[in-house]
Amino acid sequence: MKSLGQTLAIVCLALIAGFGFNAVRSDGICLDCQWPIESQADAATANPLRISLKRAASLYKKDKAVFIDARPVSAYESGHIKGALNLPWAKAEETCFKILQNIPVQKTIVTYCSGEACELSDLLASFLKDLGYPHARSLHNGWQRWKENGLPQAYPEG
Amino acid sequence: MAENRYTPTFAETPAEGAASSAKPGRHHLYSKLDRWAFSVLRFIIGGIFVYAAIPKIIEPGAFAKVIYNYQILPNMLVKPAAIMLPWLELFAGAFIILGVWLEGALIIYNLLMLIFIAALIFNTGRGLDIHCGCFSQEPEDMINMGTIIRDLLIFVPAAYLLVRVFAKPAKQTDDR
Repeated sequence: MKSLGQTLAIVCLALIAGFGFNAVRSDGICLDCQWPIESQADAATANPLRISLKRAASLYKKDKAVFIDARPVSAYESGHIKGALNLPWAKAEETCFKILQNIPVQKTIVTYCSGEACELSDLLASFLKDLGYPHARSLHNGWQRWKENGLPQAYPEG
Repeated sequence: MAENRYTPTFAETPAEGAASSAKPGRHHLYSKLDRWAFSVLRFIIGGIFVYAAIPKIIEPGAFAKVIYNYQILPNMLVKPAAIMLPWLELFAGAFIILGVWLEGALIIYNLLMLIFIAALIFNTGRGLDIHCGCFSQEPEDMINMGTIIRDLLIFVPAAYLLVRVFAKPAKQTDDR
């Protein structure tokens, strides 16, 4: 019972300190305000490299773009956009030429990764643009949104 | 709170006491080593949480974004969690270092570590490339197997301290 009382007391202290400090600090979290990040996924127009899911899906259906998965090999192998190539950002410099040798420079490339905060696709798209692929674009949180919209996916057999 | 300060002892049963009286020097050395190891572990384990809590308290908005990206909590709980969690870490860590309310602090510490590890395993398993947000809000700190192993390495000594505290009831007086 003593330990339970201590646990509850520490939780109460954390609640008081957390919410109290948040109320008085100038850069605290606004509890009444609308959460801004929810609308960021498609409203990422500030980044000119980004492409919307609708546009990416349209290019995919018309076979007008090459999709490149920027995640590590293990993530790619566990499931990816059907037909996508894998160029892990961590090894992009060493392995890019092997992947890119058959892709014409004028081809649209759509990079993607997974998660709201994933920056691998942005980094890879920027890298590809610097390499001379002017139509490289990043599909923000691509894998998650691709799956959620039931677009073509590939998974390992078994 | 001062009377709750925990002081570990090495041999407290009659059998241990009898054995120790036969070899007082050895017992004294073990007891000293035991207390020393316990204190060192407390400082390391507690220090980790204090160190981890500070950047989250400094940048609550960035930490809220990290929690949101884990995609585990309902949206309505993201902001309250971002406000409270760092302070819970801070108090748990500080109390473990100070030896105050040690049982409660270790329960919280171990529960939080279990939650963190489960969240990391869950999100690594479903392939989310998100920032860990464990010790900083820097984007380089992505979740992967390394972050899971790191948390497990922190959890093991924390679990040991918890077992140790409950296995050997705290003495309320300083017997040194």
